[in-house]
Amino acid sequence: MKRVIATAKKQIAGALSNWILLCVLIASTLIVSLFVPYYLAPKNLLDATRSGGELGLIGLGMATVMLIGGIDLSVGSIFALSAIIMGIFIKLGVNAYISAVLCVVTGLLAGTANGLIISRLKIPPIIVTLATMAAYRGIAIGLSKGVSYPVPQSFYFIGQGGIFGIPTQLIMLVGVAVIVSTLLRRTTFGLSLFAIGNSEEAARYSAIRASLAKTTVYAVSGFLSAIASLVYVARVVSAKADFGTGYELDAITIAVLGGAALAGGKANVTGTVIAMLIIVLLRRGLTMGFVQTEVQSIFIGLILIISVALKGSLRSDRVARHGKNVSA
Amino acid sequence: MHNERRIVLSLSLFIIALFVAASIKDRSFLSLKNLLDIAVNSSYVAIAALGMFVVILSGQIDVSVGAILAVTSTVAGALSKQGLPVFVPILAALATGSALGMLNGSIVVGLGIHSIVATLGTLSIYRGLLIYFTHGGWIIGIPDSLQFLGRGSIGGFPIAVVFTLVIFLLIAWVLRYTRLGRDIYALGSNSESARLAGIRVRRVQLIPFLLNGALVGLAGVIFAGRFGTVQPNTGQGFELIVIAAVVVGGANIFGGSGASAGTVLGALLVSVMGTLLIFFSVNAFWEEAVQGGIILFSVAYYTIRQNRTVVRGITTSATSDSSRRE
Amino acid sequence: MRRNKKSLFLVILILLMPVMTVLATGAKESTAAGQKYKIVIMPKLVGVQYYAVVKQGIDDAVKELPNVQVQWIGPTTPDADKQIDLIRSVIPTKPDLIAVAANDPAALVPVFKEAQAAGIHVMSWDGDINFREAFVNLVDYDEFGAGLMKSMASQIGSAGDIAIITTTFTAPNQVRWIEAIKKTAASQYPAINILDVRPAGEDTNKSFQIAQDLIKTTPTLKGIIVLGVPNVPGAAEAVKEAGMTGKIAIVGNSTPGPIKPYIKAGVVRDSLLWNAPDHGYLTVYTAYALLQGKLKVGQAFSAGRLGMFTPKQDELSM
Repeated sequence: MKRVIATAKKQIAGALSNWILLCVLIASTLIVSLFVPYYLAPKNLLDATRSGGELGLIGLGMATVMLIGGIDLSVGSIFALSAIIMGIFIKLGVNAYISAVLCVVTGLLAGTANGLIISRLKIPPIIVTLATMAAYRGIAIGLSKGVSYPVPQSFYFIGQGGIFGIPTQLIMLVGVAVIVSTLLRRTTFGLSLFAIGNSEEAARYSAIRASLAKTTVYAVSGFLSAIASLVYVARVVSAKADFGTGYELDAITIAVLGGAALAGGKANVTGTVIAMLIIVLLRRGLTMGFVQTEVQSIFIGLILIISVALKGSLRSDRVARHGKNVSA
Repeated sequence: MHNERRIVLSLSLFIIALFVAASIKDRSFLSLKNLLDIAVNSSYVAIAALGMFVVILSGQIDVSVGAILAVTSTVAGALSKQGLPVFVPILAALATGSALGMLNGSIVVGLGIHSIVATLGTLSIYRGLLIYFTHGGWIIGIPDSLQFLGRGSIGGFPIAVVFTLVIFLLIAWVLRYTRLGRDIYALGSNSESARLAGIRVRRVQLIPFLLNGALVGLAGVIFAGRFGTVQPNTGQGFELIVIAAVVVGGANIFGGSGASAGTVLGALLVSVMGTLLIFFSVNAFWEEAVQGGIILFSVAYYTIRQNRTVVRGITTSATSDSSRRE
Repeated sequence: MRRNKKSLFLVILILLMPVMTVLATGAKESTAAGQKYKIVIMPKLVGVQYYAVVKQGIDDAVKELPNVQVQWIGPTTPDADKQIDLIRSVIPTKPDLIAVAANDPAALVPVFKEAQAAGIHVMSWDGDINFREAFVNLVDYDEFGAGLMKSMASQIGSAGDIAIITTTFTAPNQVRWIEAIKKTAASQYPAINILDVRPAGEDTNKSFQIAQDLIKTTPTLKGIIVLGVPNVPGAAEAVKEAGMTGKIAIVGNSTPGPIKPYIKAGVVRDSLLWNAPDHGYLTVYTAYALLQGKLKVGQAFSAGRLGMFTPKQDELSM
């Protein structure tokens, strides 16, 4: 166990990759500001982080799941389903705050379902979450029949307000990030996740409750997706079944950019947040420059590949541990 | 091997059961025309799924196939209107697909990036480039010569189905009886051992990507030929359909085991689901939910069976790997 | 050695980025000095034929109006949230007006209010938003739906079973059209049964499959109303291939190109569409009129080659 904790602490030395990310963030922001007027204004940059709030939350959930070597493709669908459930209850006349709680509960349940199927039935997560991605969204569509549910104005603050000009989403995200980071690095549970991610056999022999950990991790991912959904619904003051399409890919992008490894064993909360900022600010800047969105996709794809390649080449102790990655 | 046969058997039985149920609901389901239609509609998914199968076997994955499909069918469509002999657009599509696949492979092997990440990146890049160059413009009026591939028949057998069968046999043969095939399986099981055993890992790893690209290119040609029109924004979500087909077909997602027959059956099941839902009069609103449920169910079914047949202490390579990553 | 090659490759990739940025932003309409109105026009999505055609109309209008500058930007998938992000990003560039074809009428309201608060005029086109100063409709929803239904009835008679193929259940225009179709059927052709409504996305192949299956499972099927430009040729092909040309009517909204071979083959008799480039053209002129304060209910304004238009109570239709 001590050795396992030592390994986990080594991960913290993935701080180097955070510095790289920070440099990329600053560099790209500066480059973009050369071409785009009004971009560098603090208000503009802060405002851009509003949409990043939801993405960041989902990305954190994804990073946690990837920590134990899993993946969750259903986050976008849980996002939509939670929103729809909330919308339905509000329509039925249920108090708005209770509906919000139900929204989060939905996410928790959906995520737990994922986790249970994965840990009990031992079906690989990519398959389970691929199926639940369709299933959950399908339920959202089936329940709502495509209709959009209005949401009361009282929610607007979460989505649109701010404290001293800092958007609520950003504050929320930072708060959640701090909580997640603490949980991961300072609790036994969190460190056990690192252990599982690094070597499940070892973890098993250490009598760590692997399957409970797995279920929890997916429940967390579902939970965070639902909170993101709450924030989003507040922003657009409505709930509809086609929300969140494609979010899973974005979440994977920022989780990986932030330093998570697909084989597990690594997670970097700060990195994920910085990665989110990179993507969000870059998109904002490019849009302000009226760069066509398809070209923006090309940029983002390139950045993803470059950053991951850079990080890979800087890590000298990269061993093909699981025999899955073909390393240079 | 033994395991794989079981899966193919279970899957066949499952599909037959569904077909029988559908025909009870509506006799016309088992008509020759309907069955042929189902086969044709499944064909281009099956071809692409076989390509994806080989990639997954080798321990990788490729989520950019939807974009590659769009690019290759656009290339095929655009060239076919230039009045060139019909094999030109076909070859061009195959070449483009192979090139894109090769690019994917090079990024994975050369830059050492995990294939999900690499192909996520190339997905955005390929789609972005396609839209940039075509501005979304459709290609209309594709000549009949190309449409032959998607719609024609030889002696009553639809060409698309013939192609699928040929490719299936080819791949099954290569995987089982050639050195390359065994190397790919080995790579997927454990690339470290493969390397130590003297397999040229970097070289072998590129081939599935190349093959996948080419096969998706072929699928793109068939696709382009079916309706006389090609939209560049086609293929959204195609990668998930194809991966679902491979997975439902029983291949281990981590690589190292699977049967090509399973993949073809998986493609069939995934493609026929839409039809089944109409025959069973499932309310359209619940279509997607039901599809997700079916995928989950079929995978759960034989994962459970597989786990039960594992003898304690002696595990097949598939299960020992899967326990490593959950 | 391997390391060096890889690093070189990476360096090249990294250098590509600023170059691309220059190319991408440099190739924009040049801002000439003088009183130019900056208008941002946003479609439901980009990368599709339909909006590429609409853009042509917009470009035509811009040529005729020298003091109007148009920036065209839209998401690559028809998602409301992507549009919201785009609109937010556009607000700080201080345009004079933003015209959006919305993917969702309710979700875009907050961001539109924000835009207006920032001193930007807001209007919608194609897909309406519940909060805007003007709306340029394609064609009246009820009229269009009724038109489709009437065309179907004229081909199959006033009784029979039909089905509808749509794009998605969540697309607002679709919802309105289907409503209109059902309403017309209920009030004018009560003996016509709409058996099923199925979504095909914008996938020709899927539409083909659905039509094929509908034909097989419903021997009494007499017609299919197909919504969604890519879906029409798919369904038409299914009818043709099943040998039901003339026995099953296909009515839909399709651009002339893809549907021509089917009209020739007698599979499709009518295809209803609005003039896409004109829609873009009109949107620009409407925006211009709005900016000049000339857009008022009941007061006609000039829309170039399209003649004079008079805004109805709430919206403008072609």
